[in-house]
Amino acid sequence: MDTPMSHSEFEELAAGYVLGALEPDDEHLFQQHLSGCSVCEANVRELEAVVGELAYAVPPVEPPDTLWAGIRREIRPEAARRTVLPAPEAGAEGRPGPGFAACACCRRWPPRRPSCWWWCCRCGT
Amino acid sequence: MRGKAYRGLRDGQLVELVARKDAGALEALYDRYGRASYSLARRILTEETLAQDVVQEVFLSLWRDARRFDAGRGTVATYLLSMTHHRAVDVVRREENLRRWRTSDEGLELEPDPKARVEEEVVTTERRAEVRAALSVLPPAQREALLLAYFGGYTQREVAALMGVPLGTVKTRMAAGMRKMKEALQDAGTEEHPWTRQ
Repeated sequence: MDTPMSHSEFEELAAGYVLGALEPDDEHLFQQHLSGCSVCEANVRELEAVVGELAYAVPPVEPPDTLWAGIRREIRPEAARRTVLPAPEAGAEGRPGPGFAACACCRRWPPRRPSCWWWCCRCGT
Repeated sequence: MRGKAYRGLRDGQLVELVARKDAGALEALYDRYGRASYSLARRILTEETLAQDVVQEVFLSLWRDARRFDAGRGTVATYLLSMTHHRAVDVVRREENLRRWRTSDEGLELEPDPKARVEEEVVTTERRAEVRAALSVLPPAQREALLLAYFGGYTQREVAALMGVPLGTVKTRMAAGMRKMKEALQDAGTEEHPWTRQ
């Protein structure tokens, strides 16, 4: 019978866990431990953010246009006909986009009513 | 640039719209993260068509079940890239012949695609420089262990076999490497993009 793992051994497994590199038995043990350990849970959250950054180490490659076209084809049957957009919060991009600044019917930012937002931005008036 | 009306919205707002089946919101998220997702999938899988399949699955998965995204667990970017990574690794583990990247930073030396959009390139170039700088402070053995796992999709036991060291050594190297990466990125103070604020 194997000796139970110590907490420091579980802490060491956290890196392999977020990298998706644990062996199945270690992964099973770690997941069980994780459900009852707030220290390891917080550690995993932090390491997940670090792992997420690794993706940016890759040089960018432009996806082919056919990629979005394929996604669009799949979602088209379900897509809502019209959605009222929320007002962008200040700082989301520093300033409203060009379509918003030209709002002719309310002459203010942000627009007072969502419907005003919608029509100003979508009809281009 | 597609979907100008969505430009000023934060990622979280876009996900809420995707949950209401707003195709424009999904398109806006694709504009923001499709390239990072595709670049990562290409690096792991090397084959263009497999990488496209993975990215398509990632965005369709968000479309079908946007409510699975939990803002308390991290940013939308992390969520999408993490999903890309998991799916790409699943594929690479099924297709052993794709694993030709024995030495892990080989693929990181590739030049950026000249067709990449300039407006986004400034942001991603800075970020890439920070992540690479963080990787460069790691001892080579720790860096190799991390990159073999992340980009090669190797398990700890496979990494141990490739590096010719015991499994326990690999566990220690990965843990130490991740800890140092975290410190290095914190020191670099990676600036949060306004899109990603919760």
